[in-house]
Amino acid sequence: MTSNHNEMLFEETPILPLSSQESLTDAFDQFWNFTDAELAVTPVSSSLEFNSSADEAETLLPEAHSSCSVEKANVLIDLSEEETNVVLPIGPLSTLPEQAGRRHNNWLLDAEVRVSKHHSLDLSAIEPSRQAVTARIESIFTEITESLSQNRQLTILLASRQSSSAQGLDRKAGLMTTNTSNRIKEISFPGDNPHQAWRFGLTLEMRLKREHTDKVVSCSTIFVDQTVVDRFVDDIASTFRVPRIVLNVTATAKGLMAGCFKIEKDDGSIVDGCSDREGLLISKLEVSELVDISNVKWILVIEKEAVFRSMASSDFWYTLSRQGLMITGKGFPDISTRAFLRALSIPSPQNNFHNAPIFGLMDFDPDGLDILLTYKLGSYSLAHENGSLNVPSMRWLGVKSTDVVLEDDEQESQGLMKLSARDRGKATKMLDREVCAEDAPESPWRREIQMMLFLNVKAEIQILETRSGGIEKWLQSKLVDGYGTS
Amino acid sequence: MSKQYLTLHTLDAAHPTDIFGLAATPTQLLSASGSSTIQIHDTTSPEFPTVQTLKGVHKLGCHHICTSADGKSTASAGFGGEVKVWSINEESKEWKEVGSIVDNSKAGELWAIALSEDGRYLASTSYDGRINVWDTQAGMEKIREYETKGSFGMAVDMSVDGRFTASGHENGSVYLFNNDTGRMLHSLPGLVKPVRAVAFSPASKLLAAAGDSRIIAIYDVSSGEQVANLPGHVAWVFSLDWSFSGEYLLSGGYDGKAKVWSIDTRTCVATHSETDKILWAVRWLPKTSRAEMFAVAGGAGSISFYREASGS
Repeated sequence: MTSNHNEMLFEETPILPLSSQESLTDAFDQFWNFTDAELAVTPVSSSLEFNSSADEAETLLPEAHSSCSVEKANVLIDLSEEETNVVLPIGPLSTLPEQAGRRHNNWLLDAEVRVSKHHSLDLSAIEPSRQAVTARIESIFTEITESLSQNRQLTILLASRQSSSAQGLDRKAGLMTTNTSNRIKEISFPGDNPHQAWRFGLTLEMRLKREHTDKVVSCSTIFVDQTVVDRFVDDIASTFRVPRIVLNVTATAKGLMAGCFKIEKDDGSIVDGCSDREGLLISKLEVSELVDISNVKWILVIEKEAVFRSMASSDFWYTLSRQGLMITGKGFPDISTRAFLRALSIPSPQNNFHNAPIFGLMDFDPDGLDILLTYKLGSYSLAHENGSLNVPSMRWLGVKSTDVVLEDDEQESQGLMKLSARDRGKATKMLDREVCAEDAPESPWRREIQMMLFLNVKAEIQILETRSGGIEKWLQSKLVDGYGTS
Repeated sequence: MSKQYLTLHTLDAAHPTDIFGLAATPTQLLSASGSSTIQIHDTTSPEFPTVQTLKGVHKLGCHHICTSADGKSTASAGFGGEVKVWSINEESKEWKEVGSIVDNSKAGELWAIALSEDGRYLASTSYDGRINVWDTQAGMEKIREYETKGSFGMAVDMSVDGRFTASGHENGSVYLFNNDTGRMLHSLPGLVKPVRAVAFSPASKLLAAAGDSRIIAIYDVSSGEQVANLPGHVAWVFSLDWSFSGEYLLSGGYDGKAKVWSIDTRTCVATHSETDKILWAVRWLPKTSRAEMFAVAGGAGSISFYREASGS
């Protein structure tokens, strides 16, 4: 198939009503907004000679996209870890499912396929075992294959996790839960609009990729950004009712740790927390690995990497390397970081039944509080995994309203910022969460968010630098001298 | 010359959390807090008993509350972005909700509020600096929208004579609007930090404004000139209220200090600091047969009542 052929067809068969064109363009604008060279999106004009292996495709395609117009995008999807690719053109293309590539189960899916009847696959009643998931995914693809050969609409049912309003708090267990069962979302191809086609592509891709261990991350550019990937991975995990790990999808390590601890790895090697002042990446802690935190008197979780690094490079290091453990999840923590902290928080043979109080130091803004609550109670979006990741014992060290507004200090305005419209919106939404309810068991959150809104101020952790003695002295007084206050 | 005020009574734990707003009628004091409940206290009785509890009316908490000068209407604004308007039954002295405005979940669309003397008009500020005026008797219709330069409106007041609306903003701006023409009358200079309180004098001749600058600025409403500067607070000022004669101005701040200022002499005549908790709200009580009284409330969750010492 040639590029001319495609372009001609595109002009002749505009399948989208005019009103949809704008959203199509928007969708593609999003699509093309990449910088990463691992882009797996390609224009029609060059995609049909796609490669048989994902790796090759990814390296081949980037040059192609830069010069083409957005209307002619294809999403390249590899069907298995081995050699298969499917191109899902988003937009009209020539004919019906057509073989291309080396394997016969590579298809060019035509956006103009007429819908004869709906074909739905119910994915929601799946047993949480790896084999079962694999089998189910395979059967989904079989059904999709059949649907394709019969010109039926392709549909995947996805359990979409609930929006924040329907979520709750398990007070006894100290974790966030979803009150109601997941909403089932139907994702079809071809869909009613280009967004749906795009989503179908994404979902399909995610499903496929589950057989690769770390492919999704490297291909994340297809999904505009990591949050989209995460959302779909979590949706899929939620559909199968399994933790992400069963899907073999875990992101690369993000969190950093440093301090006076040692981890004994499976292979007998020892990771020394004091070995690198830059911090060590937090990777998944295997059950068989031992963590020695017998000298750790406190564990400090810092929201931001910048603060983590400046603390590690300051004189605070000497305190840290003698009696502390410092962690950052670099913003919202990934699962490995949460799991690591969780493993430290609960006395077990793994940590020789030693544990230390855990403190959180976050920005005084809605995101900072949200991050703290994510560590402590779990995240709303990953409610199905919270029970094994939350750290209810975590205490809030700061930054609190009393740290940012000083009564009579002329320096006070330094570092104080006003809330943006988004901040106010997020703060209001957080106030509406059950964890901020009037009768919630532990409720500094409600008051602090109200203070934020009423004062219309926020501040980063760095505001403590403007206080006499800086962050170091502030931490010294909270952690070392008094072992903190909740 | 200084004045003496004595602590008359304190309602401990009037609310379980910060009291953000107080509003007074001739016989009652209404208090609003970070809880969902509005409390109404009888100010004609020495113990200031709670006479009505409006339970669960602002789920996310209530940050502003105001009454009309005639004492018949109240408006309350909640953190969820909703404003409720209440009317009193003259016989039973019970308040009942008569209307509400919802800001369609655009946080900050409705923030500070003020009622006209007769309770008919409600002025509200928004996050982006607009001042809206609503007709509470015509289905909460928005009848006026004053545009300003887009800085968060943190405070608003309407003059008793109904002619003016004033607003205080995050960027230090204070604006004065003419309600008859619907135009901005003056942009008042002087404060450069967030303005958290504005209040018209009872005769509608003067406007007081204060906030993070720690200075209370007094402006002449007709000329727009700043006629006085009252320095003395060392912390942010959150609340201002004129006495009913217009002789005194009451202010409260972040450091828990309440001050009474003489407008004649432009000096602070009394300072009270019974708490080190923030004072979010200070209010004079209408003068009755008893001596002049005021109430303060804030971070402690309690309400303290003060009375002028006799003989001073």
